[in-house]
Amino acid sequence: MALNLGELSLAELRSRLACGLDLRTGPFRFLIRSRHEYVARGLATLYPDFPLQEGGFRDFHIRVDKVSGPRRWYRPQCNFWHDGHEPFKPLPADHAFPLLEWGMNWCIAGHAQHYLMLHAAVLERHGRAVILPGDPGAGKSTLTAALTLSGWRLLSDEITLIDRNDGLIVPLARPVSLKNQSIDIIRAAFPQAVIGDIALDTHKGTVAHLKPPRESVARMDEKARATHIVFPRWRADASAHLGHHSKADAFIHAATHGFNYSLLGRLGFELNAALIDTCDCWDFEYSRLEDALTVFEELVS
Amino acid sequence: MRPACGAFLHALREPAVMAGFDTQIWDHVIRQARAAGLLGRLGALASGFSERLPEAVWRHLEAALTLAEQQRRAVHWELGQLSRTLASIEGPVVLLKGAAYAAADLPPAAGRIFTDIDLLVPQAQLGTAELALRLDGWFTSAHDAYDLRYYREWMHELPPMRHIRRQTLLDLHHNILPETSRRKTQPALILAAALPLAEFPRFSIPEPADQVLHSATHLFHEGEWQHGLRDLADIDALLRAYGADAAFWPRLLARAATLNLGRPLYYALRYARHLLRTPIPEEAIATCPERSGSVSGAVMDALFLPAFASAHAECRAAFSGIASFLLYVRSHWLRMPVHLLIPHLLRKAFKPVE
Amino acid sequence: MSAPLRFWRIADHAALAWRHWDGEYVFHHALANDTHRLSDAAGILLLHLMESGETEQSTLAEACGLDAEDLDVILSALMKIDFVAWR
Repeated sequence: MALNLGELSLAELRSRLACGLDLRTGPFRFLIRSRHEYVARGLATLYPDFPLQEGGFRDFHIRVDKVSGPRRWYRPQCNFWHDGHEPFKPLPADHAFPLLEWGMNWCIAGHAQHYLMLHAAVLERHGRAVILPGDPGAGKSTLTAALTLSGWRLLSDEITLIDRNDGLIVPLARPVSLKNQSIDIIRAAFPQAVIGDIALDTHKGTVAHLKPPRESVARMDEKARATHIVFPRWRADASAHLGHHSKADAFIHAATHGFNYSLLGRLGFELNAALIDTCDCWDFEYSRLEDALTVFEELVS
Repeated sequence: MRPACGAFLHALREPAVMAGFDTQIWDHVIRQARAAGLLGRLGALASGFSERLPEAVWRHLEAALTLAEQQRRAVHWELGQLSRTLASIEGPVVLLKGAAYAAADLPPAAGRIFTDIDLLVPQAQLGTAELALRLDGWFTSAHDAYDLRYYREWMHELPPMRHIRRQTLLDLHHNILPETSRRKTQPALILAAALPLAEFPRFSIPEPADQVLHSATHLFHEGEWQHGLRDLADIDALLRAYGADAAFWPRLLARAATLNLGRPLYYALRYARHLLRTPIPEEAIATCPERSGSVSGAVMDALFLPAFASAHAECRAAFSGIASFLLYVRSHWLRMPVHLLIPHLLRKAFKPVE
Repeated sequence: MSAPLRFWRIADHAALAWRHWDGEYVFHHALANDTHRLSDAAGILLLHLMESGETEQSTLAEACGLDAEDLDVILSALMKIDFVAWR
């Protein structure tokens, strides 16, 4: 019986989370346990379109909960468990939902060696997937969110998965993480966007998440072919323009910033090379979002 | 052991049963295998019929195999480099455990993941070896003077060394038991019987009986019970491969007596047979030097069997945590005299976690 | 008095894989599992060795259109990353 998370009442959601909520995102099934209210709220707001599963094989058994102990009342903390192991130090209890998202990323990046994994966002339009490598501070997440809200299909905002057998991009379609000013920029430009609770003072600053469009989630099983790699850079007052980016440089960038290029050995080289072979590589500078959207639309038309 | 653990052990004993596991069973088995450090081994055992496994399950097994393959390649590269670094060492340089299995493509190598390269050299060559490694970019990773002393004076190792560029970890040994251990053995005999590798003439591996004995000694003396089942699986793989030759068993027992390693061998045989159904001639166990009597055997069973299961929460019996701790104390008891043991354990308990 | 002849080859077990884009090469060394981005000159040199096998140094210079000193520099760099060896 295929049920989406959004079809559960909040009470039902909480109750399932208490003993294990079975959620699928792209190729991965997560069994999520939590008694933390922010986790329930975050999932209800941001994952309503995701399919729930019943029994069988789950890729990752995870838990986010308050940490018990003397600090439980004074400065409460929460932590993330993967199958009984705590890979992180505890965080303030308010950061429970971002912790869930980071934990899910950690599970994938740390274990899904079956794929070549790049640190990049990837979106598709008109059958063409554009990869946005994630250099910090470059405005990638703002751009990703804007494209997602402008008719582009979201495949991933953080980890780009490449299938080792056919070289295609495998979607996750999970929420887009927004930081600091991005949150206000997106709210202002897209008033209808659904954004989850804001977490203040995380190690990444102020963090919130954008709900992926229903259609992106509905198409999470459709792989896509990459045609462009674009290195974005926001610069005040810049006019939106594309510049040539060396393929060799893009190759090395993808390899050094990837999660498992080295681990895959020769296969990593071949998969990465095939990607660069088939993609046009660009630098992209912009200041106004509307201009950026226009340029991207032209890129894939 | 609980029913949830039954399928995992069954898979290790009889790999073909994996083709019939449903997704519910796999949901347990994959996690147990990962906790025990045996995900790669399951992958290797299932690789002949991988198309019959659920795709999602095979992805995890293949991921572990990818990692193991990468380490196998890295060991080959590392040995090539180390052949030059250690060219001036007199006498054999013997690879132990994971590095030996990978370098010589021995049965336990399939899908096995290991972290360090373990080398055994003659005691007289230890200083020369350490210096040669330092000059080639290896540096020690001990934290402070106490750790340094712990390693150098009391244990049988220098602190682990790491290569500055390649980041590989290396452990240099001159014995397989620490100086402070109650049990004494003769590493010179292991070195003398070692067999040079065709591909890397600078390096040797222990002869087959010594491979088994070293693995058994390491398992029962090191205290690393998180990987107890994995080490037992190594022993199982070695015994299945070598034990087919009837002449192997008397040689193994005689060697155990010569090297004074009868007791660890006895435990290895006993628990490999019990948990992994390793085919072992009844006579081998019955005539094993230092086999324990039935009373202390039962006590040891109560201690060891839960410890082998302790890797994953689902397999843990109520007392397994205590069993693990007792074994850890026992392993250290075997290694250090009591007056040194208590301060050391206290110190380990309170050292700040990185 | 002339220097003794040096014969260069691709390092054993390197099993190099490569790509060429816009005048730049990337090479992967299978055994070391190292990936390097190399100039046109270095790439051409490696491709020549891969195709022709062991080559004497002066012949190599001529085949790749490099003067002796440039060749020396490139060969030392490639040797340092274990891509080539000589006898």
